[in-house]
Amino acid sequence: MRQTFQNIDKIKIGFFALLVFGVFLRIFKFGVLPVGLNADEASIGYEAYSLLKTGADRWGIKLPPYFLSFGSGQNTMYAYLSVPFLYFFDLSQTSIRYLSAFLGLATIPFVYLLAKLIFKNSYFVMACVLLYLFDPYLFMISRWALEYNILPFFVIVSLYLFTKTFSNLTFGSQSPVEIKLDFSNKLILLSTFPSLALIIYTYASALFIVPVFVLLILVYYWREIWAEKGLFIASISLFVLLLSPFILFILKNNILKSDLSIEQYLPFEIPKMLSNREEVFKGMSGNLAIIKKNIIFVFSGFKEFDRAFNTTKFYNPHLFLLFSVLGLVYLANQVIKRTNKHFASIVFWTISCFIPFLFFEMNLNRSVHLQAVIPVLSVVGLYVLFENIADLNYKKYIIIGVLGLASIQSVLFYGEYFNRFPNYDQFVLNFEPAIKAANQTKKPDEKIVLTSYLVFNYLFVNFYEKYPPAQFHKTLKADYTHPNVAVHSYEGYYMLGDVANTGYYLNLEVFEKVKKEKSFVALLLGNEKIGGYEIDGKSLIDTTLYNQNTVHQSDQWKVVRFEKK
Amino acid sequence: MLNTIPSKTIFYVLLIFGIFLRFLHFGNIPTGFHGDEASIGYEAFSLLETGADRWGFKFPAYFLSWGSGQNTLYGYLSVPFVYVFGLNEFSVRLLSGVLGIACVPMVYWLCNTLFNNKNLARIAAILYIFDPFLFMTSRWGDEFNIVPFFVLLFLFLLAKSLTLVSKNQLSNLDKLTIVAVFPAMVFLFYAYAPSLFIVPLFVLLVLAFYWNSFRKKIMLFGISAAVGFVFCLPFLLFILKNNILKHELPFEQSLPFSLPLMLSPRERIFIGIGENLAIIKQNMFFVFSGFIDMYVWIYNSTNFRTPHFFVIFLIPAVIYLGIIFKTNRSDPKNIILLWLIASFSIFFLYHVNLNRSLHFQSIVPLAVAIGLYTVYEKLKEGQLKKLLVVSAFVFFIFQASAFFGEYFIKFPNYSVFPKDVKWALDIAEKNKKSGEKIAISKDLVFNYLYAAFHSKYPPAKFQKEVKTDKTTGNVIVHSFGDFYFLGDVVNVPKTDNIEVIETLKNEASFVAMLHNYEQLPAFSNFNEQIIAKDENHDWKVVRFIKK
Repeated sequence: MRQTFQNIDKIKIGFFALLVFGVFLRIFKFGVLPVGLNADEASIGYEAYSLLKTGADRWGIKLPPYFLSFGSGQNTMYAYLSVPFLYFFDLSQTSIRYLSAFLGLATIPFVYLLAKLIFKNSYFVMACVLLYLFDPYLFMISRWALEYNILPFFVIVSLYLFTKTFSNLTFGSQSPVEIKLDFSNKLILLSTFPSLALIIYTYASALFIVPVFVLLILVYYWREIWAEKGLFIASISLFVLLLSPFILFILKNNILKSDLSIEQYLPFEIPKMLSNREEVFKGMSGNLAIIKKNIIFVFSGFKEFDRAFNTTKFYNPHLFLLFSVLGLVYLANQVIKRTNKHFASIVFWTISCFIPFLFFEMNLNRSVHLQAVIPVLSVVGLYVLFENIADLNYKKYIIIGVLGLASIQSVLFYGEYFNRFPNYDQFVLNFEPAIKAANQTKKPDEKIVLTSYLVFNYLFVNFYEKYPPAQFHKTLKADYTHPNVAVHSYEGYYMLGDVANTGYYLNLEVFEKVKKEKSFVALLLGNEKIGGYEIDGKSLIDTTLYNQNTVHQSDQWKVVRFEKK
Repeated sequence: MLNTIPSKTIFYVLLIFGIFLRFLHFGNIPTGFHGDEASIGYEAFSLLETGADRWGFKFPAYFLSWGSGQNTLYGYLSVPFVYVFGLNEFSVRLLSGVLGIACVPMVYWLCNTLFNNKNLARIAAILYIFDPFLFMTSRWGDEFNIVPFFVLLFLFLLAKSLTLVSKNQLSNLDKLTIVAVFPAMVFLFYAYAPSLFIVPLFVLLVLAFYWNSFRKKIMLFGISAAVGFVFCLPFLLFILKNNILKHELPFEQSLPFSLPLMLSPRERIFIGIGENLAIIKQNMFFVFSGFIDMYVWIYNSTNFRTPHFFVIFLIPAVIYLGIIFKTNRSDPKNIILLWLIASFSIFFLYHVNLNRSLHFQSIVPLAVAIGLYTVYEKLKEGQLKKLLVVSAFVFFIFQASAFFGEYFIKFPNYSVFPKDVKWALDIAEKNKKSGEKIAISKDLVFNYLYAAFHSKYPPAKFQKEVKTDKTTGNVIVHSFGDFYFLGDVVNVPKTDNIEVIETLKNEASFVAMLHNYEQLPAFSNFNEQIIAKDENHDWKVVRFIKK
């Protein structure tokens, strides 16, 4: 007996040591890794900054439920939740990533709570927590600020709320039991459906998942829901209320496709998108081709090869992925047989997550709803397998083998992440010193002219320069006739165009204005020549008329001062 | 318990379907033709026609090939196929196809011999026939693609022999089985040279743990070792000459086979601790990412990229085999574990990919089957057993569909091997006027081999006419017959064959086979007349006429 206690203590100490180490790894070199800044990060960062300073997004739209952003929209949750971080830490590459790290870590206690509801076994719970914490993909997304990198938090919270609620109501039996819910459990029940609204605000593609999930829940748990109909009606009403700005946004953009008559009375504004993100139905053959691609993606183990920010050379986004199949099948079997009804939320969520796989070409980010539950399902699979191995000797070695594999895989992954991943070519590098140099060089009335070869060039300027959003709103000149907003100029800056984003799009008006300037400062790619912009073989700016002085040069960028001779 | 899974009927249906897939579009997929295939094919053709390789070496123990050598077994075993079907892509790939299929009964017998369990043997056979990587290797003619068959043959004969040693009365077939063990092992040396590291280590381990078993039939094993040694002798002498003495052997002239001296070594094994550690680290990525070969090796891996099904079940397999090993050191089942260990040794020596670790990959599906089956057997709950089978089966069906769908539909469009070379060569040969030479692009690795292969150029004539430069570590062919080669992209830096260019400059006209993008600035005083060029082919055929 004493021996057993000592073992448990050792295991607990090991667990806490790994927990601390896992948390340490999540914040080690935080802000620096991944190196550089992604355009989506610059965008969401500047939106948050704009909300903080003006209560409106970067285009001046007041408290929007969905950002117009580049033109085809961006989810808002990340920016709204980042406002406090920006308030305290100002706008920077690190501060905009804080939310990812914070909610990435905040997911862990909810994984703990959820795991406890699945199996009341401390080993199982500890394994869930650790696998979640060390999961390569979830680790990577918790370190940068793509707006839906925070989705796992909302998914796990929501699954906890649903599982807790229905385990309270079913208590493992087939029919609802007369249970008096205490205040906290009533609160949990009330929060179930509203939590789904938060998921939709975090990543709109949940619109394809949540309705199916809700439908399955309503059908499967109709007795339980009926038994607590008052609270459930309140919960669903809260969900609708919370989601109403978003519903109006969908109504305006996807159904009516015109302004709403009630818009002026609302305390928020609803932007009109310039372009649709992606068609849902692409014709039978189009959708079938997508499904085929997605099957390869799923059954190759969610491996991504061309998106270095999601996967290092290690390539496996999750450890023990295969066992998630067994985990899901086991839980589904229990749900179908109604032996453990409270497993249904996880099973239904996982199944619903496959709906977008029918319509869109998926990758890790786009399937983050599903990726968020995989570590939990993998541990379920492993646990069920261990629990059912009768041969104790064999079981002992299997556990050692699994722990050994997890350790070696983790060493390989984290070794790669912290040693070689910094050299991967992924985001925009060294822009900040370049724009600072440009601003230091320019004289008070001079303009800074930005390369057209940086996608969303204006955003990087605004982000690093903390350009006052109100001034941006006031002085902005842009062309809204393209699928993405083409920014021409604003106080102090000219954008030569947006070649990478909209094909060969040059701001010809801007070129005319630049030509009229006596002098200007250009921020260009390292090998870019401003005289190289041509139409019909004729250079748009005759650089022989200028004296040129390079004031800053890095591997990526150069800053050149042009002064008419 | 598992009598019905997989039932005999399902097994045979899957097996027949698997064999059908192995031969579906055989010869056409992978599209194009690899330089190694052209090389080994022409060696087989040369052996058939002259009893010597393309450079005129009589029955060589190792081909000189392009300079750093090529394994011979594939060439020798392809001779009958080339004899029956003529020299073409199909006949060169047929050996891979046939021995790939032959792996299936071999793994079945091996499994049944060791575990005396038909269900396990069936699972292993099914995993073998559908295994993505082994499937891919069985469809083209690189010389090491036949390694899996010889690994399984050797292990089967060894397993069978170890179970026979305790029998008092051996039949003639039993005796033959024991005698065949070491000669079968020697095939591996001729099939793929990394066997040099793996096989001796394996033999040492086997001797250490099964010495008592060998002693029981020492006579038969002795004969086997002696026959194996004689069979191995040409290869050993080749190693002696090339890697130890590094010069001609005094008695070479009197041997019935030849020992070519390589122009350059293939790869150094020990290159310094730091470098070797870096190699080990890279190899561990390869192992723990599930043996994923990336872009450079797309002929090993489609977009699907997973080379084996259920690879994670290697862990319970190793554990199960480890427990058996711990319990009984002389259990014949241990040979699987010992082979896994021996074949894994190369992961510590040099940079490994799927091909280079073929000895190991060859038994991965077998080990996976053992892992899956033992986990299944060790489970106590009937319902969970069913769930394991259902999930494994569903997963297998989906993965297999994803892989084979990709292989037959999209893989043909991958740019894997050079395409349309035969098309262009045929046009060039048909259109060339009498006395005109044919110039061949330098941007085609082993350009001369494609010309020799597709024109079925008589090897005796080739040996007589070929003009080469052997000073760079690779044999650079300048010309043979009417074929002239503009350069060689294999050598670094890329070399133009200046002599050839000068020769062609003196011609009144010549026909050139070039890539669509290729220009020949050296021939500015020639007019170009397009003979064939279109968007559907990678090549153009052009006549150059002096102005």
